[in-house]
Amino acid sequence: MTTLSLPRMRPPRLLSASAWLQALLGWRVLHTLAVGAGLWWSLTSAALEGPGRIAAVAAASVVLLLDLGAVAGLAMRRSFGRSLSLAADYLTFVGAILVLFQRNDVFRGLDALGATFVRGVPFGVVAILAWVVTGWGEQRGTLTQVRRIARYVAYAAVAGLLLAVGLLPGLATFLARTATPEGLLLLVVAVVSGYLAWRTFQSDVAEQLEVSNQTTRTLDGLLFASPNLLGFAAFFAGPLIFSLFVSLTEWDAFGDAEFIGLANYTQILALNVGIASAGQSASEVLAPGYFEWFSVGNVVVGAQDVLFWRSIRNIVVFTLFALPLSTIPALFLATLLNSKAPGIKVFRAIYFVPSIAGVVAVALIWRQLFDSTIGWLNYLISLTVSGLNNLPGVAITDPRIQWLSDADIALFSLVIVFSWMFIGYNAVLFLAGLQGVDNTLYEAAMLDGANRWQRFRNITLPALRPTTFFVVASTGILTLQLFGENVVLFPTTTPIGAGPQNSTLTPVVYLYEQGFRRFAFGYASAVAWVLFVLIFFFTLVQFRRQREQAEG
Amino acid sequence: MAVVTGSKRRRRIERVGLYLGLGAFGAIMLFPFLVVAFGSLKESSDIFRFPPRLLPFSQDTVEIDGEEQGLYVIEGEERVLLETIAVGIYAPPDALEDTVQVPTADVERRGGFVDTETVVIDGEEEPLYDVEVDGEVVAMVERGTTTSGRFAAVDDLDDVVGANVRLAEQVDSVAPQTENFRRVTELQNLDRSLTNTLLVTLLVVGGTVLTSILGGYAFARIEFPGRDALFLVYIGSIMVPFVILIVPLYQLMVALGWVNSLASLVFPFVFNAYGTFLIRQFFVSIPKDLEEAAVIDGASRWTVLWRIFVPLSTPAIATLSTFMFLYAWNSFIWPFIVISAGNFDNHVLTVSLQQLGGRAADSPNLILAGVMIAIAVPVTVFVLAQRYFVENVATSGIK
Amino acid sequence: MRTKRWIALLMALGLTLAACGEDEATDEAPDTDDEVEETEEPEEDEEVDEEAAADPGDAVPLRWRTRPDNQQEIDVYQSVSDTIDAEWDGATLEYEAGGTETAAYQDVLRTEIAGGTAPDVFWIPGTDIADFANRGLILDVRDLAEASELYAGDDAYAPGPMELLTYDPETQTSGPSLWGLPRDVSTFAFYLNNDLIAEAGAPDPRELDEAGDWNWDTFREVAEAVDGLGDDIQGFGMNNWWANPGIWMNSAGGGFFNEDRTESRVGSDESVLGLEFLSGMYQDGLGVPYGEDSQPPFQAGQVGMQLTGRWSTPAYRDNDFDWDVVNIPAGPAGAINWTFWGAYVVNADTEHPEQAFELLTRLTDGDVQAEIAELGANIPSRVDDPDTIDQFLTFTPPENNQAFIDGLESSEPEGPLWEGDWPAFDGILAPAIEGVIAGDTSLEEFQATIDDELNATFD
Repeated sequence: MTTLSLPRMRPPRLLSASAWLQALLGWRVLHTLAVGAGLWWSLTSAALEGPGRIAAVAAASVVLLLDLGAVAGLAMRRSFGRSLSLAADYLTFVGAILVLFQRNDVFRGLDALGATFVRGVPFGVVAILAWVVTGWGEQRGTLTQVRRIARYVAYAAVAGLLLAVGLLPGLATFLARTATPEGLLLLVVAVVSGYLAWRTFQSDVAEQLEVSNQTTRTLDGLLFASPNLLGFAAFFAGPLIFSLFVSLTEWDAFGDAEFIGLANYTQILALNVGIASAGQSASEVLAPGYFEWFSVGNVVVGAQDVLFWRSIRNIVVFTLFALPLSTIPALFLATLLNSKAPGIKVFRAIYFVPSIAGVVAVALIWRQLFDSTIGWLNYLISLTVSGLNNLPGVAITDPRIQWLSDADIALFSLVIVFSWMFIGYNAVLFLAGLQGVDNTLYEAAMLDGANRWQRFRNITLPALRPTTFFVVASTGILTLQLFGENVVLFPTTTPIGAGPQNSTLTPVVYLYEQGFRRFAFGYASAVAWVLFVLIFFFTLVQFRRQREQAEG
Repeated sequence: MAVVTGSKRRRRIERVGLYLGLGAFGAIMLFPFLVVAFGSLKESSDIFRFPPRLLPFSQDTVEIDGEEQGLYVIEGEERVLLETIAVGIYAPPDALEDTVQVPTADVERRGGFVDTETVVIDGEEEPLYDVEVDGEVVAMVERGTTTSGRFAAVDDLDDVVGANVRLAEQVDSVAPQTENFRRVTELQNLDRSLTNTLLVTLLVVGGTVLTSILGGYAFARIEFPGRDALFLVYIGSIMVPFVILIVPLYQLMVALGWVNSLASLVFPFVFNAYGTFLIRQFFVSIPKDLEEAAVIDGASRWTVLWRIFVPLSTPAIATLSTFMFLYAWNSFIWPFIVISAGNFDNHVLTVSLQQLGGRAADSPNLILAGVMIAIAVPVTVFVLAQRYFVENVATSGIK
Repeated sequence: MRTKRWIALLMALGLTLAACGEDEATDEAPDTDDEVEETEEPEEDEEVDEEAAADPGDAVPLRWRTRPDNQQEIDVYQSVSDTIDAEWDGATLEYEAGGTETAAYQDVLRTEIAGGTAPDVFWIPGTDIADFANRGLILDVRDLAEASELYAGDDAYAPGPMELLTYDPETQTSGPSLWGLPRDVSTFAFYLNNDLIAEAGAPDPRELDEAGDWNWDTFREVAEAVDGLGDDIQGFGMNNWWANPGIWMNSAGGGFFNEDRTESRVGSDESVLGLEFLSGMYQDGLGVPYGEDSQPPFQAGQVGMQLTGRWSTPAYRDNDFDWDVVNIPAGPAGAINWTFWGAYVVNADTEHPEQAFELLTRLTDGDVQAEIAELGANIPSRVDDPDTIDQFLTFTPPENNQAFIDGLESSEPEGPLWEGDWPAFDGILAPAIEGVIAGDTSLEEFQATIDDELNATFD
C-alpha cells in the first residue's frame, strides 16, 4: 500500500481565528450584495422562464436569507452566525460547481459518453478482474507477487478505460470552455467559497465563538446529509410542491393554470349511495352527475368519476391476489432454499432471474405465452385437460382461456406476471432473514420435540417479522403502482393499459391517461395525491402490525 | 434442517422431496425463458405454428427440377406437394351420409350442362353427377366442396396421393435462425441502447451508493436536533408514487436542457431515500464501541465512516447496489417519457423493447430475439457475480 | 485504503471530463439545447420569422416526424427527407422516426410540445387533429397556403379528410381554416385466406363481391364454413380498436356521430343493429376472441378472413398461403367503410412557419406519395392526378387492390371531433363495446345508457 499512497492534502489555514472572523464578516456583506443582485436578476431576467425562474429565485432567496442571518450573527459574534455563514458559502460553492458543469455541458455530455462508453468496457472488465485477483490474494495472504502484478494491471486498465472513453479530448474541451470570463468567474467563486467554508469550519474558528457540541454535531450531520438533502430538494420536494399546487388547478400544460381549489379532489372522491326500490334503475336512484359504480342488493353506490373508483377496485383486487401470491410461496420457497443440499445455489439463481429481466422484457415474454390461440399456456392446459379426460369418469371441456381479452381474466393474468416476476426475489429476501435466525433456537426446539410445523410457526415466523414487514411493504408499494406490465400487455386498449372493459385499469394507468393523453394535469396530479394517501395508509397499517407483533 | 435426528433413509426421502419441490418451481421460472431462448431462433412460420414446439424447426426441402420443394410425410412416405385441387364431396341421393371425395375435374354432370338430370332432396332440386367409385359409375349429388393436395413421391413424381395440405405433416428438422439477432439489432439499434443502459445503471448505482453512505451515516450516527423528523420526511418520500413527479420533473428537465439526454435518467435518481434508509438501518446495527475507540484515537467522522463503517457494510452496500441495479435497469415510465421516441441514440433498453413490441408485432420471433439481447447482459452479469448478487442480498438481510 | 479512494476519485473525475469532451466530436447532432431556449420565447417568433423571410439565402433547420410501421418505411421517409433536402435550398431537414405504438405516439408529441422539444412538422392521425388544434398546438396554415406558390389547392387532396382539415371551430364551418395536409389515406378490407375458404368449400368472397352478393349473410356463411374446419380454425378476426366495430354500425345505417358531429349516434337502432350482428358472430364462436391480436393467428393460417387496413399488406406479403383482399360485406345500408387518414401539421411553436408549410407541400407531392405507397402500407391522398390511383393498383400483392378503392369510395372519414373530446369519447365507447361483444352487457342496457354517457364528452 505504501508504494502508491498519496500525500494527504490540506489547504493552509490563513489568518488567525479571530482575524478570520473579521474578514468573514466583510466577505459576508459582499456576498449578501452579490446574491441580492442575483435574486434581482433572476426575478427580472427574460432569459429565465417557468420552473427555471422559480428554481433560481428559490435558490437565491434561501442563500440571501442565510447571508442576512449570517451577517447579523457574525456582527454579534454569535455561533449561529458561523453556522449560517458556513451554509451560505457551502451552497455557493456547490452551486458554482454545478453551474460551471452545466455551463460546460458536462451533464448533457453523458450522451456522448454513451457513444464512447462501449470502447471502455473491455478495460473495465480487465480492471474488475484484476481487482478481484488483488482482493482474493489479500484474503489468502499469499502470492504477493501475483497480487502486485494484478494491482498494476488494474491501474493500467483504469487508465486505459479513461483514455478509451475520451479523457484527453474531454479535458481539453473542459479547459477550453472554462477559459472564458464567465467560466473563470465561476471557477474563482467556487474556489473562494470552498476555501471560505473550509476555513470557517475549522475548530479554531469554532472555539473562538464558543460553538456548542450540539451545533457542531448539527453542522456535521447536515454536511454529511447535504448531498441527499440538496438532491431531495431539487428533484423531489420542489417538484412535489409544484405537483401539489398543480393538483389545485385546472392546467393542460400548454396554457395558464386556473386555480380551482379542491374541486379536482371532490370530483375524484365524490360518492353517492342510493336505495333502489323495485323497478327503479340505478341511474334513477343516484343524484345527477353520479354514475353507478357497483350495487349490492338494492343498494346502489354511485361516483362522479366512476373510472377512478373502478381503478381503485381493480388495484385492491390485484393487491389482494398478487401480494399473497408473490410473498407466501416466496416464504416457503425460502425455507426450501435454506438448506445445505448440493445444487441449491443453482435453484436460487434460477428463481432470481425473472426479477432481473425487467418489466418490459417480462411482459413481452408473457404476451407471447398468453396468446389464446397459439400461446404455450393454453396449449399446456389443453394437454393437461386431454390427459385427464383419458381417465375414466373425467370429462372436462378445454377452457381455452382468453388471458388477455376476457375481462374476468385479464387482471389475474397480470397477477400471474407480477407474482412470477417477484416470487424469486422475495424468496431471496426471506432467505436473508432465515439465515439470520439463530440456529440454537431450532436445536433447542428440536430437543423439546417440536415438529417441523411448530418450529416454523414458533421460531421462524416471529424471527422473520422485520423481513416480512419489509417484503410485504415493498411488494405492496409496487403492486399499488402497477403500470409497466399493463402498458406492454395491453398496448391497444383504450385507455392504453386499461385492458378489456377497463378490467386492468389501475390508478397509475388512469393517471397516465388523464395526464398524458387528456392533458388534465391538475386532475392527474390530484389522482396521484389520492393514490399517495392510499399507499401511505397501506404502509402505515403494515408498520403498525409489525410493531404490535413485535411488542405482543 | 433435519440434521440431528432422522435416519439416513428419511433424509434421502426428504432430499428427493426437496429437489422435486425446487425443480417444479424452477421449471415454472425457467420455462418462459426457454420459450424466449428457442423462440428467438425460430423462423416466422414456425413461431406462428400450433401446437407450439420448443425447438426451432424449419421444413426440410428437396430439390426437384432445380426448385426447392418442402417435404411432407403422407402415410409414412416422404412426399412433395405438387398442387392443390378442388375436390367435391358427393353422396348417393338415397344415402346422403355415404360421402366420397372426388376431384371435381373427374366428375361430370349426368346429362351434360344443358339437360342435367336432377333429383329432389329436402324439397330442393339438385343436379346429379356421374361419380366413379371403385370402377363403377354412380349417380350422386354434390354435398359440398373442399380442397386436397396432390402429393408426389420424391423419387417418382407420377406416384401421387391426395391429402389435406393443412393437416399434412411436414418433415422438419431443427434449424436455429441466428440471423434473427442481426435483423432485430438492425431494426431497433439495441446495441446502443444496451451500452446506454449499462452506463446509466452504473452511474445510478455508483451515485446512489455514495450519497446513501453519507446520508445514512448522518442519520444513523450524528445526533442533532430535528434529525429524526428530517429522516422521517426524507424516507416518507419512498411512499410517494413516482408518477406524481413525472410532470413537474419533466418541466425541470426542460428548464435544465436535459430533456432527451441521458443526464435526465441519472441525476434525479442518485439521491435515493430508499438507499439512505437501507444503509442507515445497517449503520445503526454496528456497535458503538468500534466507533468510540476510533474517535478516542482522534479520528475524524470522515475517517470513521470510510475506515470503519464502510468496510463493515459491504453486504449492505452490495444489497443496495443490486436494488439500484434492478431499479435503474427496469425503469420504464420515465425514459419512455423523457427520451424522445425518435432519438434512437439515447434510448435505453426498456424503451427500445417497448417500441420493438409494436414495430415487430408481426414477427414475434424478432421480438423474442430482442428480449434475448436485452436480458443477456444482466443475466450474464448475474451468473458471473451470482455469489455477490444473491448471497449479499441474502447475508445482509433487512434488519 | 487511501490509494483506492484516489483511484475512485480519479475515475469519477475522468469520466466527468470524458463526458464533457466527446460532445465536440459528435457535434454534428443538432444542438437541441438551443432549440429549447428558443422555443421558450414564443413572443420573439414574429421577429425571427421576418429575419428568416428577409434572408431567403439561408437554409433554416427543420425537424419532422412520422409514425412508421416498419423499418422499410423509416428508410423510405429518410430517403424522401434526403431528396427534398438536396433539392431545396430553403431548409435543411432532419427526419425523426416516431414510435410505433399507436396511442403513445401522440402522447409523446404532446409531452414534447409542452416541453418545447417537439419537431417543426409532424404527422398525426386524423382523429387527433381537433384536439391538437383546439389546444393551440398546431398552426392554422391557411394564410401561408394562400401566400404559397407550391400549394396545389384544397381540391388536390382527398375531399373527406380535407373537409375535416379545413374546419374552423369558431364559425363551425369547413373551408376557412387549414390545419395540415393529408399524408395519405387508407381503408379497411377483409384479408382472405383463400386456402382455408376453398378447403371449407365456401364461396369465394371476391366472386360474391363481383356478383353483388357480398353481404352480412354470405359473410356469416363463409365464416361458419371456415370455422367448421377445426377447433383451432377461426372464421374471421379483427382487432380491438374503435374502427373495427365502427364499420358494422356504419354499414347498418348507424354510426358514431350525428351529421354535425355534435352528438352521439351510437345508441340509435341502426348502430345497435350493427353491433347485434357483430356480437352474434362473436358469441357463436366464429371469430378470434375480441381483444386478442388477430394478426398472429391469421399469419399462422388459422383465420379465414381478417378485417384490417391497407397497412397490414407489407407484413402479409410473407404469408405462405394464398391470400387476397375483398371489400367489407354490405349491411342493410350498404358497405360503409372508413377513410383513415393522417396529416402533416405545423408545430405552433415553430420558428419557421413558411418553410414548415413548404415542407408540408413537398411531403404531399404526388411523386413522394407514389414512392411511399409502393411499400404497400397506404394509399395516396392526392386526387388531382388520376395516374396516382392507376399506379396504386399495380402495387401487388394483393391482386384485388380495387377492394381498397371501392372501400374508399363508400366511406366515412375518421375523426376528428371538433365539438367534443375524441379521446374521452373513445375511452367510454371502447369498453362498452367490449362488454356487449363479450356478452356481459345486454344490447338493451347498452342502448339505454350509452348515448347519455357519450354525450357528456361533447362541449
